Amino acid sequence: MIHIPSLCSRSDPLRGKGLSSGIAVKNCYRLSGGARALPQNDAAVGNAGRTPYPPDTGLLHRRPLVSRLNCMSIVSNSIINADAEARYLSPGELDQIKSFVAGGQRRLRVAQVLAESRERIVKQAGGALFQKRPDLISPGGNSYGEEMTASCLRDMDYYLRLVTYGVVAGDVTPIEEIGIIGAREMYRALGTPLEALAESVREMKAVATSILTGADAEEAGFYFDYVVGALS
Amino acid sequence: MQDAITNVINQYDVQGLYLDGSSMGRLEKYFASGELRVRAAATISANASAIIKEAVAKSLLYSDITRPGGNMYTTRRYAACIRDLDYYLRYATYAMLAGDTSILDERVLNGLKETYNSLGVPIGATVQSIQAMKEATAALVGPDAGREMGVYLDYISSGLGN
Repeated sequence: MIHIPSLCSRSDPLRGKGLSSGIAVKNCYRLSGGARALPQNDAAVGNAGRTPYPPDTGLLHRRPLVSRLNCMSIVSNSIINADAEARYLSPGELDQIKSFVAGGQRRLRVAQVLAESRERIVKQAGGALFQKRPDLISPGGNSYGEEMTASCLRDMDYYLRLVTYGVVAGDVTPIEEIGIIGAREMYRALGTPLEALAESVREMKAVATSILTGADAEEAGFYFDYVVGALS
Repeated sequence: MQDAITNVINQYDVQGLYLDGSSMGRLEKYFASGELRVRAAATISANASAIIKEAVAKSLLYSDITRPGGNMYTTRRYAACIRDLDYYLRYATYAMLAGDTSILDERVLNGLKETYNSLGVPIGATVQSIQAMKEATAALVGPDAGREMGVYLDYISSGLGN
């Protein structure tokens, strides 16, 4: 995922710099470990009337021709392992897939609830974050100002979306491939406090698990925890 | 490779979207057919050599191709042909499990036709034997799973034929 500069980064080094923004995107490609397409998250929470970034024109912003090869679920994963040994899937692997698909409806439901409640989750979690860390939205803080607060909330929405992907795939690799590999380096380069980002995901987990019940909350919680752990 | 799930995720991530009703519907269908797919894969894996034996008997064994001058003449070439059919069946089974054709493009069809042409392997006969495998598989796993396997075996056939 190419983040727009970002959770609470104070200055926005990529904006309005023509060529240099192209270079930044190129670097992001490399950081995230391979060619990948760019999200155009107009609908994201708190885009606050900004031009969606990156713009959808220009050589560097074209969608790569190759599909993302590493975004896995347990199904692709078992197949690739079996193929490496030129064999059919073992009864154990098939059993795992069987229980994975048996839980499919439930996971879709969890993802749906999270997607439908996204505004509430992001808003409440953002509120809780800023209550705990008032320094972030104070002058000199990384989310100071309407615009920076908005990009902070937008990044939270990104990670919430990735959590729903993880829930549906039953695997953390979609989250990892899209939004974790290179994320620490990127946020560090942008001067974004990672612990605040991790805290925001923790707050989203708290809101999300209060909306969901029992096993559903546990299932979703696992993917929030994964993001928190990977970012901190 | 992609499967039915990662295919949807990749498509939606490119646009920065949450999964919506239509994608959820597609995934629901995949999950609902999952057990059928798993069961079919188990049956095929347990009977792979029988399927290939039957397909070869039906489509190739008693034709000119196994006689001197044919492309399956000499045991070495015969064995190579069986091995290729073995690959097709295995990859079609992977694709059927995944509910997605991408693995066939990436790991089977990419450059296959050119390889066959340069080696002089008759593509018509290969397609016939794949169609025979389709029938043999359907007879074994039942009509529903058979139809699903047919999708991927046909995909290989048309990839070779075009």
